[in-house]
Amino acid sequence: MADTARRAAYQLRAVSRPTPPWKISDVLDFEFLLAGDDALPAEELRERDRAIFVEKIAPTLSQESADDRRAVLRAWVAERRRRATDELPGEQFITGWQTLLTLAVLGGLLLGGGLTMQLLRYSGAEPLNALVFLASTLGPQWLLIFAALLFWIERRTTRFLTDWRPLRALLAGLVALFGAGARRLHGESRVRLQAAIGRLAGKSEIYGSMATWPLLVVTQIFAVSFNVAILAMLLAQLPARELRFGWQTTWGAPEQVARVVGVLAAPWAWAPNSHPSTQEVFDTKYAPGQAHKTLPGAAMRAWWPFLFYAVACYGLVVRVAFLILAAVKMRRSLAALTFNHADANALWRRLSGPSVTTQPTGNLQVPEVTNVPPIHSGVAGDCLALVADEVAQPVQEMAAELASRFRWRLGETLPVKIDNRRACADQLARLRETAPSLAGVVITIPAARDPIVAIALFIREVISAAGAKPEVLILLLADKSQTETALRVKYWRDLLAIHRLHVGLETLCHK
Amino acid sequence: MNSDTPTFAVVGAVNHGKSSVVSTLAEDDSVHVSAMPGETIEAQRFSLGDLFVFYDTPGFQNAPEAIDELRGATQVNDPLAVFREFIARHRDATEFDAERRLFAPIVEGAGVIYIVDGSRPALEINLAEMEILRFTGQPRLAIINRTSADDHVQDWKRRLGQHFNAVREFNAHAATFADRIDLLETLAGIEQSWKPKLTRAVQVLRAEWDSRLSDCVEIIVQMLVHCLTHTETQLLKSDAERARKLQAADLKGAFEKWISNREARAHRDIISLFRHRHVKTGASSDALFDSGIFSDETWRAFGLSGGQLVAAGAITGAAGGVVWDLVTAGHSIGIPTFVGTGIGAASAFILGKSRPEIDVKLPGGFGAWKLGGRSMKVGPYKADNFPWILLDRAFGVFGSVVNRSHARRDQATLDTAALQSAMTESGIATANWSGEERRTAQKIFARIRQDKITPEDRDTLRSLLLAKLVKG
Repeated sequence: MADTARRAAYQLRAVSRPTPPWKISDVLDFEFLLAGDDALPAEELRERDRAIFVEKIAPTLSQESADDRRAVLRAWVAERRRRATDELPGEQFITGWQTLLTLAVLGGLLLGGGLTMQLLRYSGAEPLNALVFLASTLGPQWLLIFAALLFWIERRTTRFLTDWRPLRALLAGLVALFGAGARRLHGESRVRLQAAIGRLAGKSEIYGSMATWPLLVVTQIFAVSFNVAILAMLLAQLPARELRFGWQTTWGAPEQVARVVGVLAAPWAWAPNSHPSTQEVFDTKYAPGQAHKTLPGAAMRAWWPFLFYAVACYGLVVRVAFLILAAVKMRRSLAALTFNHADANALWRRLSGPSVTTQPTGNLQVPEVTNVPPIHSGVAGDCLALVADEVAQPVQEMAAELASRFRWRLGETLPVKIDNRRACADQLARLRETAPSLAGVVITIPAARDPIVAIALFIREVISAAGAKPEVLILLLADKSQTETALRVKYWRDLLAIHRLHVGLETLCHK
Repeated sequence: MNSDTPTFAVVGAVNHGKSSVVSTLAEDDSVHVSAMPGETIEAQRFSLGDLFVFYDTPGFQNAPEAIDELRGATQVNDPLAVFREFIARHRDATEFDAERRLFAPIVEGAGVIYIVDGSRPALEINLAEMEILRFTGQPRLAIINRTSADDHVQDWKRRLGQHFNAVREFNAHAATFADRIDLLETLAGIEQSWKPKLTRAVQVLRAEWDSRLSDCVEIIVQMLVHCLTHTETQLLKSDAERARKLQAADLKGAFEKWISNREARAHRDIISLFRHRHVKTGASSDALFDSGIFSDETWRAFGLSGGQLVAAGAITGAAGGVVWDLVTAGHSIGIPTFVGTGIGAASAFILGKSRPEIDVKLPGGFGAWKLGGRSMKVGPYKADNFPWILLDRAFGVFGSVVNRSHARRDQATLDTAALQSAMTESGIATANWSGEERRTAQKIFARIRQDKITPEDRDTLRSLLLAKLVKG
């Protein structure tokens, strides 16, 4: 019952506000739903998504937000989520995330509390060593911070360790292992696995930074809880017992220790009992085995406020600052998502474009849509077509399709050898030259061609030549039965995923 | 690699049917074949003893770029050295992964069998593949395989002729044993040093094929003998009429099941003899009366026609009459033979192609006296058409597998319709036998039923069946 209520709340969460912000769970659901759509026929997808836009999204959008890709896609996720019958990964992520945060808090509290209890255990023979307390509570934290800082500086300066990415190397090793294992599989299973690995890698390239910040949030919550536990445990000891701290070290003379203590206490110098005085530092130095009774009690009691302030300032405050930074960065990375990768572009076109169907006669049927705010594709403009030299389709027919389905005006058409990138140097140079003024680049390939490495290499060259601005799209020309076309499209999608080619893939059925 | 053994790398563009050709040539339906481009990613070895070796290789993936690096092979004495360098240079390069693997057997000395799909147009990339293979300097045969009705064969032939020692058409999905032998003989012609081994390979394959047909005949003969003489006997459990009827029905069921299982075993043996794993027998013990040997459908579809059955019935009846005439030392002046012939013919005419019920001999009366009084017996099944139906169904199984290509991966289930179709296509249905052949067989069936079959009878039946299988 509680689960059902939670589900309902989850499904309705997004529709309750006109344009709610994107969350990680939304992104996960978005990608999951897009991936699931791969298996459906293009025509069915187009009709479904156009209907979602016309009936569900358009009525809730203002004139301005109708052009807002983020808002429209977010509303699409909400509607698809409402229609979902099974639990979506976003929902599972929320549950997992909450569990992880709880574990981080509990873990931090337990570790911080346990450590402090251990450090404050009083044998009676010697006073508690204030320097050991500081080194044990703040030392590891600052070592990690310094290491991270050095690494960060190195990445931005010498780049000596650019290739040293242990986590990435581990993941790459695992992927290679899977890849090697995949070679033992046969046919469809092997390609399915390799494509899945490729798609995962592709997603990490798109959302990579977004995965870093949640990790930092969790670690900082752990660290905040750790410091809170230390402070709480320190305070909790006061009513019950007297905390007598001394110090002993071979590292420095009393005057040096007193100077360091003074410098460390600078941030809270205004606070009462901010640090032990120079005399108190001198008085609390003890030799190994020296009983605390031989030291002045007032001087020994002067240490604990300093230790409390030190952990609060150099532990808790720093960690809270990191936590806030990570949370802000996480929010910003979500806010910066443009959703202009290939699958998102295809969805945007399905939502925004008119429902186009190709009748058996080959005539395009564009139904009239009324009472729907005009939604404009953000990528409308000129496009350049690289047409496989064996394609005999008339340019006019292709131009009409590109205009109606993608809102692209076909400018230049260059014949290319799609399986020989070296023979296409002139065309690629021309693309490089014109790319900044283009909205799209279309590579037209007969669907009957087998997806091979040579073609993947050519597509990679085109992506590189096109640069960041225009969208690169593969247009498969099909003229066979729909079932066979669907199968060919699947083979091509797999090739693109395996070779990590982030381009759109659309089909154009002609007579 | 043994340099004496003729070795061939089966190469070609992705999805042009290399694995299908290898599967057919090696008679091995375990080769992975699919419509998905790039199914094969490792070179796989298939051999016939030390007579020849085939390597099924991955398809070309990047010929246009590979050719630029291999042109030097035309200007050196050892062209394969250029290919070896290519393999070494691109050991870790993913863009030439397939080329590296498909060149591997060639640089070891393998001849080249280049497969193209004649139903697809020749592209420029295919020309690059042909040129690369010409650079190897190895003996080369091109095979035009067709996977659909579209026809570009003439264009392929024109292009292939410029680069290969020989060009042959070969439909991997419909190739017969004769086609395979024909192809091997062509291979023998492209490299003189391989001729003796390949000629011997052809001889071995022919001998093995003949032996396989003989084994098939033996399987059918054994099944006939077992099915025509089988009986089920049981001691009577109760004298009560109802219990006797129930026990009789059970015994009849056991008899039918035994016959059905025996026939299915023979069918499986024939399928296995021709090394097919994707063909299944249709009848299960649960479907005896739907599509199995005792179904009405089966009795309508197989065996002799009404007229042929009258003649066969006359022979069976006459055989019984002759026995009586012999017992009376000729004193009955041939009357039993005459009467037996008439009765046999008449009963066959009355029953036509319908399935006669299986008799259960119950104790009591004359039966009790004959069987010792307490036993119940079913079989042998006396129906005239029974052996002919068994034969026709066995021919159906034979026809289904003998010319089925090992490249096919569709699951075939041999139900009545499939068996009838295969039997008709093979042209060896018993209804098409000559009168003389039928009479000879019918006499032998009669002797089998009387448990009086002689070694000569067996040989005659074997020769008769073998002649039919060879024709099929």
